[in-house]
Amino acid sequence: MPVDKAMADAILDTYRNMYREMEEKGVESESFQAMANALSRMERLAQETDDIVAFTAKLTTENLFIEFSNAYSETMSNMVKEEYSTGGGDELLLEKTLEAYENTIKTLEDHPNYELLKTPLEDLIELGRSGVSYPVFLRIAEEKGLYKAMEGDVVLREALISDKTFAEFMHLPLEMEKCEKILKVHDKLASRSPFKVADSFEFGLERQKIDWQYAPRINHWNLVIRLWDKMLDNVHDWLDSFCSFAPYDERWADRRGKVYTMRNIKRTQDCNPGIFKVREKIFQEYFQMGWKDIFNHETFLNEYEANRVWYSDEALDLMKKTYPYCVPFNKPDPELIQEAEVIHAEKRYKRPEAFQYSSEDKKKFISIFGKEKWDEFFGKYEK
Amino acid sequence: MEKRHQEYMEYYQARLKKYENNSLYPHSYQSEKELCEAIANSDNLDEFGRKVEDGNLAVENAIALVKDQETARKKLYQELKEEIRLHAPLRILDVIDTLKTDLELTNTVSEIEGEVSNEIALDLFTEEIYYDLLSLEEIEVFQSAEVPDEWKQEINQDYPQELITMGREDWNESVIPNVHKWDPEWQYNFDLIWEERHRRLIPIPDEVLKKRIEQFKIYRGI
Repeated sequence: MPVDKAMADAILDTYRNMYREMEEKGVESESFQAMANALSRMERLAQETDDIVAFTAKLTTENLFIEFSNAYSETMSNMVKEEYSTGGGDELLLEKTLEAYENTIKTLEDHPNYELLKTPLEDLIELGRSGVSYPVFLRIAEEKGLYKAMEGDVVLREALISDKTFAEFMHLPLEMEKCEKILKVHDKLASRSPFKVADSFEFGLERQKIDWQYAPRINHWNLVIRLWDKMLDNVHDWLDSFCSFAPYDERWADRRGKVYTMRNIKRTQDCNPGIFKVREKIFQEYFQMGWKDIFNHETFLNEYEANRVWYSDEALDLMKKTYPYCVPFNKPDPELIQEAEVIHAEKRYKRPEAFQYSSEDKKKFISIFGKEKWDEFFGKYEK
Repeated sequence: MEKRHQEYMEYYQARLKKYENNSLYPHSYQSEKELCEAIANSDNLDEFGRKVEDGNLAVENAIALVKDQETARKKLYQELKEEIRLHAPLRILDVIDTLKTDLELTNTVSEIEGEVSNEIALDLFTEEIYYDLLSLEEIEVFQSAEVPDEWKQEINQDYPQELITMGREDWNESVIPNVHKWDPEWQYNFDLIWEERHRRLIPIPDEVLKKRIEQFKIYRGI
């Protein structure tokens, strides 16, 4: 069965358009034939392969993207040389350049940053149509940094600010720190440049370096959270499994009937301490931390501040009191079970603000994605 | 000097200025300087055109830029110990001085980038062990949890075995067929886990990682 047509079109349309553009110009050359061969192989693969991963893997391993692009560059380059030598000269080059910019603007129409992207192109077209010669056009474009601006530096900076705001919205301190550094390095390069636009190549290197520096720290941070999160659940569930509400709680209730439900409860009562102890051991082995370290650890404090700790303070305190009892073949103190019953009856186990966004968070989200998206994702949860 | 000649000279001076005082672009600066001198020392644009053609200055200029950029990439990847990504700048720099035309330059660069991008994609499959940590921890937790006799079979045996069966199925039916689309000969190379670029991303001590690698072999049936 061929690859899904919409997905194949999304990949191949660019190449089809480039081929059509040359065909309409009546090009006949060896390199144009090479374009045709590469494209026809791509079309055949879209019919012969049965999923998109296999299709893109074939396109890449058979080098078809590169073969096509190389042939296209060669065809274009030959065309320009031919036109230049037939007497068009500078005026023709200027005209061709401006035509290319005009076409680019058309292709950008659906781009979310259309307005920002088209401005430098329009500036270049305006300059080119102002009656200046080709070399003057080229010089002014260099001096005003229009080429660099055309590489999308304004859009890039906007995107960097959005990344930073998103990290703030998500309350991710390492990502915030990383985005801040990336933005700083961008602005430093821009200020150092004679045209006040960051060199995109140099910025790319700096950015890779910062991403590289933060990757292990971010992995470490996420792994710590993943481990303590499961430990909290183990202790909390263990205590609750001894409560009178357990048979009616979705954690244990089994659609097959009461016998199964009671067996689920007994499994938690009997096994959670043993399971918890191994988790505690892994936590120790990984990070040389124990149960008590969780609550003062920067990851916990941050998750708490970010409203991502689901349990109420009361529930957390109860877990701390339950911890000494949570050892294999043991049971919790009856007083703790009593406390858990009360907390459950009054629905005080969950922090009211858990997974709620502050008005500051809301502002940040809207500044990146707009009010419509906020309403779409979070509107229904707002009081 | 003709007006057009003067205008082109000013254009080349503007290009030179771009690279002034930027240590990242020594070859580009030098090449732009040569173009500036060539146009300044020519009586007219025709003579400059001949100098550009005879000295292959336009192509040399493009080569200089690639050389500067690849030298910078090489330095960065060496510093970051990114051995596979390093292949691209090394291979480009290795052949760059043999290239004579702009087409040869763009074709060679894109071919090398394509090759190396495949190598990177394959190398990244080493990180499967990192993504499997959660499953490996769960297997350990359930296999070694101290539980009453009546639960031993279910908790210590059946459930971890279920996870292992699922892990092997996923490996054989999804992961391997996917990697083999890129390289039919590919086999997981455990030594790569210890190379800096992969090791640094797994935030657990060496001794624990050694244990996880043995579990990973069982979990994935390798």
